[in-house]
Amino acid sequence: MTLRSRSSWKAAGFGFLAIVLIVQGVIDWRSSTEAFPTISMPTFGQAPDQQGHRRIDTVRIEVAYDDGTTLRVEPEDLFEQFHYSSARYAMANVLRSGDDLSDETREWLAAQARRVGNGRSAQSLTFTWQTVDLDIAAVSARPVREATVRKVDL
Amino acid sequence: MSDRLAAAIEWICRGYQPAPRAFAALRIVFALKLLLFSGDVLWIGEVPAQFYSPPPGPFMLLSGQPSVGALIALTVVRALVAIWLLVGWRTIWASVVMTVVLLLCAGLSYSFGKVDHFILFDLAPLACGLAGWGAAWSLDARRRARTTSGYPLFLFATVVGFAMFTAALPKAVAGWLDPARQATHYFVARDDIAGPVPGLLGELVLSIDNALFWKAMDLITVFAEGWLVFVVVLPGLFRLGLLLIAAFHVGVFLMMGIDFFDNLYAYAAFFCLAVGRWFPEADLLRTIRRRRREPAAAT
Repeated sequence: MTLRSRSSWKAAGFGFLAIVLIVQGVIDWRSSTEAFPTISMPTFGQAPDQQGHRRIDTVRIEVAYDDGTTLRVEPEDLFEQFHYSSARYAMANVLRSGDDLSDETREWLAAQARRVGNGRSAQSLTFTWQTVDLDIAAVSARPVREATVRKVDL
Repeated sequence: MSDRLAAAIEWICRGYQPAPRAFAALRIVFALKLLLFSGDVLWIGEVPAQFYSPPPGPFMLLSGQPSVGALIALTVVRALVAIWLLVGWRTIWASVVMTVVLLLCAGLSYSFGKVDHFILFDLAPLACGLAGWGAAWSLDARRRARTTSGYPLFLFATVVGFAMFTAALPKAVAGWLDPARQATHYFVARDDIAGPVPGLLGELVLSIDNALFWKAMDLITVFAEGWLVFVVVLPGLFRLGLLLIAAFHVGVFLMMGIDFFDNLYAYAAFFCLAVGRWFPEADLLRTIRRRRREPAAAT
């Protein structure tokens, strides 16, 4: 194969790859949730407004135990069994939507509540999603609307 | 195709061509990492089925998460393929299979509401296998002499550059370039307020009350991610861009606690050659200058 024809093949391969990348990029961009596998890196998202404010959602989880005590836990601790970065998303997908919980899910949540409570038996889990206005200069947050609360009896 | 264009393509490919032994070392480190420090996938079969929510794409064809037994089999296969890659027997096939296995593991673990961004790590075996990371210190190399090729790494550089561009473009659209808005400042503050875990230096950098500093962070981020795709035809500048991206990953980890370090294995493929060959543009510039001087001296 001559240098010219070899280089032509290489250029054609590059062109084909460029087309594939652009097409899959457009499909991924138009998809409502991120597709996989696609060639992409995290976008992070919108900058705050010019005054340094932006609304975000915070989550708070409280476990109530049979002995009358309560415990506040982070999503990553309660959902420790999940991949670290999936914990909050998985939790929000199922619990914030208000869908009925399966027996399997309820039993699993009870087992996790028992685990984070060092073996104590839990009565309920309360998930509270609160939208807040974040002030980046003061690093402070102010609630801006009524919270979404989901209490799960175990 | 003109001779000049053909020569340019060959020059680009030579600029990406790795040294066989350094490249083989990357193969061995990569295989050992997969063998000894692979992420657990068994959790996928242990969590309740109600949480299963695959991302758009081929994983939607699965009606539910695999059983624990199937995931144990996948873990064993991954370990066996890592050994296959380690010894370097029919290395191209081992590399292709490894990418398939990594994509399978990744796709299953992203089927719970969140897609992580380690596709470059997953694709690295495929690119490096085609580029010849089995050309030394392998059973393949014992059977007959082999060499490496720069072309697959040129294509992989295009993939890396495009991946970074997909991060830069939405940021540019989302206000990161607006002089009056501080995006990096916002994301560090958000991590501090809403979690999950702020970076080691998150609190310290939040004490910096300097709009110029925060705007510079935004601009450097968009530039570091955005320019890479435009310099893939200049291997030296591309390497410089990767060094900037590596520094950016360190910054993101320190400020926000987000770990992108697995991608460094993919970037390492572009540095498997003598440091003196990292920037072929320097040789090119020297040659051009010499050629310009020579006709002048002849007259």
